[in-house]
Amino acid sequence: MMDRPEYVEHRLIKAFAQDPQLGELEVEISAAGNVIRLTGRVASEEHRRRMRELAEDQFPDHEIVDDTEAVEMRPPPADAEDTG
Amino acid sequence: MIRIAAVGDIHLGTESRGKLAPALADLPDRSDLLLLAGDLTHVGSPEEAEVVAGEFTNVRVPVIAVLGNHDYQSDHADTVTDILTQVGIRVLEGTSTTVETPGGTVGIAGTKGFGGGFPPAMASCFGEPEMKAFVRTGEEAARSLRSALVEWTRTYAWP
Repeated sequence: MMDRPEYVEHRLIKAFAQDPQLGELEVEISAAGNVIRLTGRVASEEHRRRMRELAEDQFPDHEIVDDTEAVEMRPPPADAEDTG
Repeated sequence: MIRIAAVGDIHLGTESRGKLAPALADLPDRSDLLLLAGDLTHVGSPEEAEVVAGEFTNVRVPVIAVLGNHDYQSDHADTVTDILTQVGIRVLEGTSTTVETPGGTVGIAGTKGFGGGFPPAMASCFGEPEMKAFVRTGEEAARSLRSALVEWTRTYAWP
């Protein structure tokens, strides 16, 4: 019997948060049928790979759709807020 | 004029080594000090703290930080603080510090803070011991920040 979507989502929320290397709390997870979709911004490509591994390990019968984006390092903004 | 750079949630890990420092190379031309709001690491391990320390060692402006909940995850918050402090980062937790800039003196108080919410969705110090401990932790964080601000003001602004 297939897990209810909210249980699938909760298991992955917990796995991503508590993995010793990840600590990812901001990823949005939505499960529907046998598809799990991950969205949001994560710290690095390494984190994206690790999240996919965890999702595939826990739910091998599901298709994992990874729409997350790794944060890119950018130079600081050129402008500044003038607080008077 | 006082120029303050601030960044939060940098979430550095061992894979981040050497990635942030280049973006900070010209910081002294653009800012008098740098504030780091918490979540400096993914999981608060000493190894990750070493990466943070390395990225901010040579920024050449005063760096003042508070930790975040991620920096507590491995139960090594004191070690994380020590590692950052050793490279000159001032880590505030219910404390304050002073930075002298060409534009004047800046007083900064900081704390990690905690949960508790705001009305109408605010936790009450009521019921189970665990619930009361949760709320009191947030209240204590707020009190420590207030005390740090009051103490700094009495010492430096209106002695």
